Amino acid sequence: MLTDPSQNLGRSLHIRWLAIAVMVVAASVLLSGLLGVVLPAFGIFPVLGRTEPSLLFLKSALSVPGVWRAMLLSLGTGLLSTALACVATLLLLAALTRHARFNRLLEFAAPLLAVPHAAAAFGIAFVIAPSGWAVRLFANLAGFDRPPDVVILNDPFGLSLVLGLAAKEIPFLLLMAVAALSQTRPAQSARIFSSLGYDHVTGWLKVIAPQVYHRIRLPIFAVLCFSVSVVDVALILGPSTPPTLSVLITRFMSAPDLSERLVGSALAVIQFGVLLIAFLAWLSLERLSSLFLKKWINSGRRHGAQRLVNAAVIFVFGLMSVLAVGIVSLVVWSFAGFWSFPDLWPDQLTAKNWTRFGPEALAVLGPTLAVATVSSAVSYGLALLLLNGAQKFLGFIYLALLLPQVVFLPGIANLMLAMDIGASFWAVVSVHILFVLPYMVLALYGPFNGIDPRYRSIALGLGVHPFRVFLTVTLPMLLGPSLAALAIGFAVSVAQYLPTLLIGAGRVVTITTEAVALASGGDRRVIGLYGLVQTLAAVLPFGVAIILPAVIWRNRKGMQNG
Amino acid sequence: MDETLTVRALRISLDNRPLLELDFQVPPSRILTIMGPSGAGKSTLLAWMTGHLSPEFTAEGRISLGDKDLTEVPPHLRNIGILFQDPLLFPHMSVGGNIAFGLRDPSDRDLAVRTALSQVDLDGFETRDPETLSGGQKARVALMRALVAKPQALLLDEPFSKLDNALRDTVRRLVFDRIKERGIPAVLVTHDEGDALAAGGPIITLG
Repeated sequence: MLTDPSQNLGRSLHIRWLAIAVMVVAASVLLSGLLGVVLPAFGIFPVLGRTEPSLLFLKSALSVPGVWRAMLLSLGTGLLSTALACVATLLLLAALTRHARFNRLLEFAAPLLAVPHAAAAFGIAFVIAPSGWAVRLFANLAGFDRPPDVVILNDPFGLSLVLGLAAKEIPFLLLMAVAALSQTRPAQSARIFSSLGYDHVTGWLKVIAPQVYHRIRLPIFAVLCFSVSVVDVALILGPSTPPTLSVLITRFMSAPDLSERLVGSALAVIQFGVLLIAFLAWLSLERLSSLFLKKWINSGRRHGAQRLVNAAVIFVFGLMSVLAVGIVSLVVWSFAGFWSFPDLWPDQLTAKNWTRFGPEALAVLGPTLAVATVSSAVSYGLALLLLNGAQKFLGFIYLALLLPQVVFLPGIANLMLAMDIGASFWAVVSVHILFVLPYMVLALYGPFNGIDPRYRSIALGLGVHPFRVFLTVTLPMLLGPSLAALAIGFAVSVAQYLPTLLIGAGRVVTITTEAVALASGGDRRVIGLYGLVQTLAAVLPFGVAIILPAVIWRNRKGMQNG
Repeated sequence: MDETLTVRALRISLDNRPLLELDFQVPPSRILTIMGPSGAGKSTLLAWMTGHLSPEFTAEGRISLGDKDLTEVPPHLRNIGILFQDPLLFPHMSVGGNIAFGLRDPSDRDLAVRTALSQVDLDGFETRDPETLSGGQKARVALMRALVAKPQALLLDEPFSKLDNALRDTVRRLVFDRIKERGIPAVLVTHDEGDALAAGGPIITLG
């Protein structure tokens, strides 16, 4: 009966139009980015005096050595890692939801989610490489003293890339699935399927999993889009000859010769096509699995899924352990002196790496923190504006997550060039906002709409102006979720590689662009140090987001659960 | 003050289906009781009166206090207070902060808060966390928070339904006495015949 009181704020402060304007600007930037890629792909690039349409560059793109294999790699690794993450998440939930301490287990997922993709990839590389910790352990047990001559990292089929992507996407999908789970009345369903003789796991997979899947389709498509087009993780864990399509595009777009951008743009258009094929393939997989699953659901079998679920639990815990050990290995390598194979621990721990490379890392940490602070603060304001004024149109804001960065960012870079806009701090911040804002909206949407609208009704009934109600009632009630959203936004900004690389054009560098650039050098001590600084920059705000509300609301029991 | 609350030719529809049609007047110090089954539109009526009707409803009709038409007036300028079945004290504020939030004149805040709390036998509760109060204490704070704003009318959306029987009588008497003392009109929505009888005013049954 009560209207969403945010609409009162929207009406009284005319912010609805402002919110719609923000949405239009964000959508326009994305669409102009697409246009900025499509036009050069078809030969129109006035900066180089090209004004006539031509298919020449598309043809050139298709004849770039290794391009077909690069396309297949992008498609295959993207689909496989998404499918793996999706299936593992649902099976894991089937196993965990019967445990009373389920929510405590989830607390481990949040910090893993905050670890930047590049740092996670470095960590995983340090564990699974032929001279990594896992092989060292095996070497000690099996008694060999040289790293095996096998390609584990950067393997030609992209399997290590698939594992790296899945390791980062499982915590994300897990948190999304848990949020969706609360809307499916799992406890009531469990009582019903148990009374019908189904064991927990089978009943959960047959009754609850399809509902959860339906509710997390948007995040799954975002994961698919990300995985098909990721650059930084592919540079670290993926094959190099040829690399994935997105890495190929980045090489062309970063080349000093501007004419290379025409081929790069054509490759970006091809990448868009690859994404569409991935979406179609996923939809077909959904159809196929639905046929198979319907048969299984209607079979009346009440047991039998336990083994599959056990395998999934082992796989996920194994993968998460590799990720966690990988982060520890960043710390160890950053302090490592001489460390010979197959020793499990360096001969000595030293601060020498930090005294030598620390100042350089700290120098780029400044701009990193500045970009992250400004982009997350501005995005927070915009997210509140959108939630207050334009909830019906929020779908537009998620476009940035459903379009590959590598497709429209080169277009924005091309347009900046055409309009003679140089790389600057503000240009980088503006592009970061495109990616930070959707995550902020996702993080704040539930808590914002979860505030009982009667609080605002009461406050307005007391004669208090809507804006004051917003400042003194709504915002303090949102303190915990706001800090969590700011921490997420901060982590998202710190982790941005391609936007900083293409829009910063070397003039604005962050810890992430520097760390990925160092990857090719192969010095694990420097990589460990940069990876660690990057991880700390992304993870520490989460600590603040957890501690600060607990301190502020220590005398307010009603505020202690969020 | 001392204005009659009038609702004229009210017609609320949902998806073009009429939900309720009403016409009533509530003189100062009187309490009109609206009864009816769930879904009859009782809370919808109060949402319309406070200016919070959800957009999926369509409403025609006028609401006025004395000779001031409030139909197009924004919620925060209507000067109509509301009490819900949950006290809904702002959890991030102290008890005193909750009371002070409704004050129109913050110049003598502390004294006003102390006086308000003393009127409901909660002396010394200013700094308490609302979550540490009993159900009855919360209800009394919610009442005083509504009254310190000096509303010209008060709407009561089943405010006693979650209280146990003993407490219910006490809080009910307190609320009704305060309404009469302040000389303001009130509309009570309830399922409970005891509430309706205790209110002592006219009763409209919906549905």
